[in-house]
Amino acid sequence: MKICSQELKTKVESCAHTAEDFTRLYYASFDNRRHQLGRLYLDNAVFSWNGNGANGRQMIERYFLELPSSSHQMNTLDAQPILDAAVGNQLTYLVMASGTVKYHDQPMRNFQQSFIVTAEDDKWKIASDCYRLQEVTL
Amino acid sequence: MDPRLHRYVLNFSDGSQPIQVDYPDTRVFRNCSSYGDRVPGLSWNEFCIHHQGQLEYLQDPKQVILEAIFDAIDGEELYPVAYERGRRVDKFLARACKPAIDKLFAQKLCLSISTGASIQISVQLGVAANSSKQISPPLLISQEVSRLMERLEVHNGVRGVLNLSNFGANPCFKSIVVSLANVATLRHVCSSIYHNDDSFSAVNGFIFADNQMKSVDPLKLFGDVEYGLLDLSGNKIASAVRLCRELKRIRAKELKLANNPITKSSKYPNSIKALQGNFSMVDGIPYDKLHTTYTPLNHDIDLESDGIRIDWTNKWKLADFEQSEDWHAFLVPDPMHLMTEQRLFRLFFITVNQMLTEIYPCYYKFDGKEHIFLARNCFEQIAYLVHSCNLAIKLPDAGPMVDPDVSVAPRTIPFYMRMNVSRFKLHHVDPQERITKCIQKCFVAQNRVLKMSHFQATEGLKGLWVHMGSTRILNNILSIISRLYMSNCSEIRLCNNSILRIDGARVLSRMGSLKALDLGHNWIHDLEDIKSLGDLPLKSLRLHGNPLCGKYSLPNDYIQAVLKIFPQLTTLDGVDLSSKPGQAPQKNFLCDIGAYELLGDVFLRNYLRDFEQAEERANRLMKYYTDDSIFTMTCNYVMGRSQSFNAQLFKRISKYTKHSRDIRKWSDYTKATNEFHVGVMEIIGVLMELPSVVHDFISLQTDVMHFNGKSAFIHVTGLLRDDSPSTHNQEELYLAFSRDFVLKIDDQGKGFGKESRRLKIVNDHLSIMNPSRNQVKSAFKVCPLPDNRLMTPASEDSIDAKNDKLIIFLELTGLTSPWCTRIVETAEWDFELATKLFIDMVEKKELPDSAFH
Repeated sequence: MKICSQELKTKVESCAHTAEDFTRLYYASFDNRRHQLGRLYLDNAVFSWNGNGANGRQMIERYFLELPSSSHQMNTLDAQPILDAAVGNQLTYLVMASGTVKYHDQPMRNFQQSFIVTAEDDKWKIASDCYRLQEVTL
Repeated sequence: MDPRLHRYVLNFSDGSQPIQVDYPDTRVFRNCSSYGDRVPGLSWNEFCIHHQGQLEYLQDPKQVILEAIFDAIDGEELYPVAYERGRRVDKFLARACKPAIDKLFAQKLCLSISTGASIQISVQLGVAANSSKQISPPLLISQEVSRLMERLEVHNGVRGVLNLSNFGANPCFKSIVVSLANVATLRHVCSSIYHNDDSFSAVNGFIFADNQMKSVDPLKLFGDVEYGLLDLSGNKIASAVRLCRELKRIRAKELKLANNPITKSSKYPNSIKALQGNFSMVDGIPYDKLHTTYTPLNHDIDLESDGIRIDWTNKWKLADFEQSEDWHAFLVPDPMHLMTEQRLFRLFFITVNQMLTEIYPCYYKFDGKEHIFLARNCFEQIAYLVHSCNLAIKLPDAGPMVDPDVSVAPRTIPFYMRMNVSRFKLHHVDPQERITKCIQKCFVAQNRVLKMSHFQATEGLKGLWVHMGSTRILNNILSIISRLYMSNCSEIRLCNNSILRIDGARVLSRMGSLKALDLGHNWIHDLEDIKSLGDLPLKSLRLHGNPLCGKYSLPNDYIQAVLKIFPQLTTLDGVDLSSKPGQAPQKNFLCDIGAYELLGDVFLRNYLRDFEQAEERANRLMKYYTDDSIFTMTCNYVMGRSQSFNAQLFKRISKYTKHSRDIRKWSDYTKATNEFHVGVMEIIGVLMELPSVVHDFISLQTDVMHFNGKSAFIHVTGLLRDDSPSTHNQEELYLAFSRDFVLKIDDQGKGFGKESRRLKIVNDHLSIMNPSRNQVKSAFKVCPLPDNRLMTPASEDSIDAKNDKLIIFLELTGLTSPWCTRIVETAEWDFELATKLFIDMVEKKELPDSAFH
């Protein structure tokens, strides 16, 4: 980044920081404490798992309980603050993670996941979560 | 009185010499059968028709009289001149018509009028001298024919059509009577055409419409040549036997016969079967389909007079018809035509009693004021409709299902009946027989599938309404099926049939090899309604598109509920249940239907297309970004995994790694602004450094995670091919990519229009990865369409319409649904395009076997 205000620089740094903390917590919950995963979502969060959608925290929690046990290995992580007026003063980040995952009795596959996380009562919560396994739907 | 006192001069003021009528011979022949020694020479003769005013009540007495005369002279020449209507007597002159005069005398100068009356004629011979310069009807006719032959017309794409419709009304015939109803006149016309050496070869069709013709015998002259059109509509052709004989050697692409008595006969169109080889179409309908458009309502039945009317004033009379096997007509007045056929029957079947006899409405038509259909052998049901429903069709309570235009109308729709309007005739619709035949047509013996989806649309069911929403009708159909295919049918497809419930498990259980049932897109509201099917050993069931599916918010709840009734299922809605239920990958996710267009030309497709050419990116991508836009990218392409690790590959991948970020690789967050690009200029600068690529649009999987009309969040993943010109001699490099876009939608852009400029990218992230082996295997299997075809505007189909298209395409091609979706989406829901694309692919063998069912 060439032209960059100090304010933005700070924002970008704290965004990266948050992304790293958040994803660490997220995948640990996903793999080991699935029943607590729902706490990371807003009540009206939108979730899509390989194109299967679930709306609202309650539905998302139920969806997770049906997934086989998993083990994620995150390989890359990137994040951007969302600066649009639409989110206003609400601190909102776009977090992109990718890596490999092994679900119980299934082969290891690449996954990508994009979150929009937002601060709510000093906690980071997921507003939207898009999860894709790398495979062709054929 | 001496007739010589009445002498007069006829001057036609058309350049012809006047006729001086001076009655040199005073004898008037009347009521006799011979003119003795008098010889009708070349002079003019006078004919008086003594109708005594008794025909005045007819619409066109002159026409009736002429018809009677032409009948009497039976094809001899007679061209009346100066026909004059009188209160008691009509009269005209004619000459050179000895054979006609002979025939009139043979009938004692008495005409039989079509109304049954008989009328006397008197004839006075040689009333005026003839000269060659006097008016000559045959000459006038020949001249007019040649004039028309120089003005051949184009009709419905047929060129060279000679138009002789309503020939006699031609203004140049104002002083004479020219009627092709007289075969001699028609013969004269035909021979004038035939002998016109200059123009005859250009004639490719004839219009003889509206000429009162009964016989077309002289057309024989035009035999053994194939014409484009022969229009005989609006004549008086009544005898099929004669028509077949007369047209035996005439051939044309199309024959028009509408508005002739022959088409109203009950034997039509069977009666003209002999002409099948001569004409490919009759009145716009292919010859072999003629019989399917037959309806007794158009041909046999006169609803004004036939049958006994039953309405609320005489309901008690209905009992008289209990034993009747005749047709009964239902008449539903609807002067504003508020209802379609489909809606009428939908409401009708809500009203009928499901417990009583099946009712099959036949021969539905709307005549401008009333919906009309026939039914028979359903007295129980008719009695219920007349007495219990009080001759009214119920409208359901206003709910979301009711159209707004009907909900303001009264709560019932009254109707009345005409009982016994027609006896049942051999060629009439017999529902049981028709349905059986149609079911047989739906069976594909090779793969033992009975394809009855959208059964009502089956060709053979025209004129017969089979309402499968009625349990008894459905049961009847299921028992026909089980009788026909006891042991050799493994799958029945009943999707799109408005089925509400099935309790016909018992009949189906006789079908030993039935393994799959498709009930998709019906009206089944609850699993309870198909509970009885649970006894069948079904392996596969399709329920997708039924209201019951909406009851379950999670796929797994739905699957568990279905499995409770069908424990032995292995496939539900095409998904293998042994794999993870509810976790089968779906190609696209849309959080809001309104965002659908974002994925097409409004944004995503256009953006990706604009992105492809590296050197064009500055031009094309500028419009998407603002000074606040953010772009970052991550490249996680692991070289070791690629089979062809070499220096070239390293060089190509390094183009992507150059700008790659990965928070995990940083020791501290001071690097957070490295490769963090803000603002349109900076972003375009980076994007231009990336190689040119080609996206495999078919591979795209899109998730629209957020959309509220003002902003949107889209995730897209798929496959692309590195396409920098400098690497064209190298091996193809496929890369898996994903892209995240946060979009801002301009306030003014409500409904977006089609202007991508109203959309701005707030955040953009590109990620590059190794493709999976599967991805490479199916990469670019569908050939990209040429640009101009891709640019066709996205259609405005509703999701339902899209669904329908998919289903039709599925059935048309036999493809599996992912391939179907691929092709139809590539064609941007343009059905024709999709079909062409499919045919292309089949020809080029681009479809693997696994793409088909």
